[in-house]
Amino acid sequence: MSPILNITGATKRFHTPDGKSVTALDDVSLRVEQNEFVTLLGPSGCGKTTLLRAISGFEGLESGAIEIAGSPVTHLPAHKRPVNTVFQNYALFPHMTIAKNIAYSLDVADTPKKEISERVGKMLDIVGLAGFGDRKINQLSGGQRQRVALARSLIAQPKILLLDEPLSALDKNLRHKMQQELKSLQAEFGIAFVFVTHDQEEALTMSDRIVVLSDGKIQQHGTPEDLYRRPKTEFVARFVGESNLFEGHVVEASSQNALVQIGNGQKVSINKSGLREGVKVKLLARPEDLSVGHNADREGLKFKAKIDQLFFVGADYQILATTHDGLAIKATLRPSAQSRDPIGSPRSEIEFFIDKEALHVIAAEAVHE
Amino acid sequence: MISSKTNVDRRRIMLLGLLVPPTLFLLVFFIVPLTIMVIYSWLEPGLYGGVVWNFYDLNYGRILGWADSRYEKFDPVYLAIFFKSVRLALTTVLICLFVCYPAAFWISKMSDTKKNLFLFLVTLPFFVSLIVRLFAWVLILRPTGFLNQALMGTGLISEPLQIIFTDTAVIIGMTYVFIPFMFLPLYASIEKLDMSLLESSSDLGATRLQTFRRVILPLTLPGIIGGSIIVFIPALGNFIVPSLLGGAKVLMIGNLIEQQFLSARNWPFGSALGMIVMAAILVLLVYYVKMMTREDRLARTPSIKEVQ
Ligand SMILES: Nc1ncnc2c1ncn2[C@@H]1O[C@H](COP(=O)(O)OP(=O)(O)OP(=O)(O)O)[C@@H](O)[C@H]1O
Ligand SMILES: [Mg+2]
Repeated sequence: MSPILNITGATKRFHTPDGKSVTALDDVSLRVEQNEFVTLLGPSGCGKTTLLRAISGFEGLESGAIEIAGSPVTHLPAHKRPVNTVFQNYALFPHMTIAKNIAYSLDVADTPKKEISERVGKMLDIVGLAGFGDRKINQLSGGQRQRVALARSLIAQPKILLLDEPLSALDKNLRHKMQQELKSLQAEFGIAFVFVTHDQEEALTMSDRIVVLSDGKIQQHGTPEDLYRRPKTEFVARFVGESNLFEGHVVEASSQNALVQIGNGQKVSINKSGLREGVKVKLLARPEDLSVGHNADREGLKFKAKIDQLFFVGADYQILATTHDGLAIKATLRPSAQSRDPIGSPRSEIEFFIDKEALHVIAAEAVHE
Repeated sequence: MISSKTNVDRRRIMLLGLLVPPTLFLLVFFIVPLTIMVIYSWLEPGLYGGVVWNFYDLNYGRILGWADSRYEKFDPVYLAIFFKSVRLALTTVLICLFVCYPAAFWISKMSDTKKNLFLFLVTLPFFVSLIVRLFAWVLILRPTGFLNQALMGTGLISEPLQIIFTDTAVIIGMTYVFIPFMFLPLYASIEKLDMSLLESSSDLGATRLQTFRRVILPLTLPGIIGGSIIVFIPALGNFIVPSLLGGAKVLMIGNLIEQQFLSARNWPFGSALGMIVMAAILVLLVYYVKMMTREDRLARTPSIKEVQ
């Protein structure tokens, strides 16, 4: 089946008044399947909004092409594209009632009045705003406005719904609720959602697939597990989730394995092919991959460290520590069910162990496979 | 309790102190002259100026159609002049609107420094006396003036156009004078317009025309109406522009009133004419206020209930 959205080689440069140029999109290619929830993730200014605006038709491309449902739309004006956007500030029409806002796309398409009122009524039900149709926008809370914006976009039956940081203005509880609602709306409507956020946690929880952008380039895309477990670059490793990165180089390489020596001289053999001898690498371990104490039967990395800070966060302890050779370490430790003793205290000594299976190798100069 | 009460009292007194001077000012300089006008308009004109203290409704009769032929004659020319003034004022409003609307849009999209420069330029004419500026227009529009010279120089016309002392000249002059009055309220409402609304409109499938009709126009309507009223009122009663650029040929209601007070010395009749103009404007304003309050009421009805 052909993808619902196919972007090839999209490039966009902005020229600032002082004569410089910013490359907001640099040869971006992306396919989104029907029914997929794709998240664009990246730091501020990496081009997420620009990519979304290129899809919706508000930003032209220097080069590259965009296809929606198999037909090219690169030169189609925004109002003719079968996509709708939920804007960050919602951009609801303040002079219209909620029902009128939601009906807008049907109104401009001269849909019969009767059909409009039926569909608007149904939509109000779906987003939980039944009975609110006659209100004006300034009589709604942030979460309610959010729902109106969603309803207004979804009623137009777009092939793709674009959402630009729609949850960033909401407080944490409402955010979580809206995250779930968005997911269930997506399932209900069965259309592709392209969702923008710079909140990696939000990206991990919501997405079928995450696209990490930086400086206008796609760094990596894949499932949340892919990005979390197997980041291809240090940037992705640091941006998605918390990370411990150990610099090192390959001292011995065979077809299956590589022996990596890290800064403090420890060597560990890693199950990874395709590494040449002498290449610089980084070893990634997530905080929850660390355990306390020494496990003699397993191969891995060991660090003696001093605890700097220790936070009790309910189920886990989060520990910030410094190893004796000066590496900063983040660990998330869960006390075992048998012993509920505190794991340690600030300034106390601790010994960490990282199983070699948990280590993920990142080539320092990103080798793109 | 007691102290809070004296506090309230003290605030009352302060409020009174603040409100009394402007109230007195309005009373003396606004209400009193207005009352004099209203009373005079119902008094009999004296033979050599001044008034005779008699109730007399023929000042209005002369204008509106009842007259006792022993004293006054109904003359439709007054109503004709009134309606002509309305027509000229409306034309001025429309031209101002068509000039200012796109200009305000264009300026609102500029960078801040340019914006300020243009706003300054718009208010620049206020620094020069109105009379001087209107004389400049006389120089431009007269048969041997700049405009005709230029047009003849390019060969577009062979004889000078008679513009000065016509309705056209008056409209040009009034448009020129009142453009800043239209521009500023329009600009204020256009500047406030959230550009992302235009994008969301076209995102939802609206063409540019639909976006204009359904989003831009209703949201800038307060500016349009405000600017139109602010231009219409002084344009309707204007007498300087028609007397300079209309000469003896174009008479507006303002000139008529001026003549009654200054040359004919018929204050009661002048007052009656003034009252007619005021009544027309009052009707307009009441309508405007009604519309605005309705909008307001619409904008804040029932209380907010959080949906769970
Ligand atoms: N209209 C514009 N003119 C000039 N530069 C622009 C314009 N729009 C965006 N840029 C630049 O392009 C780059 C990408 O911007 P974009 O808005 O896509 O970032 P973003 O990823 O959405 O960031 P954020 O998370 O802060 O919203 C930025 O460097 C920005 O300064
Ligand atoms: Mg953005």
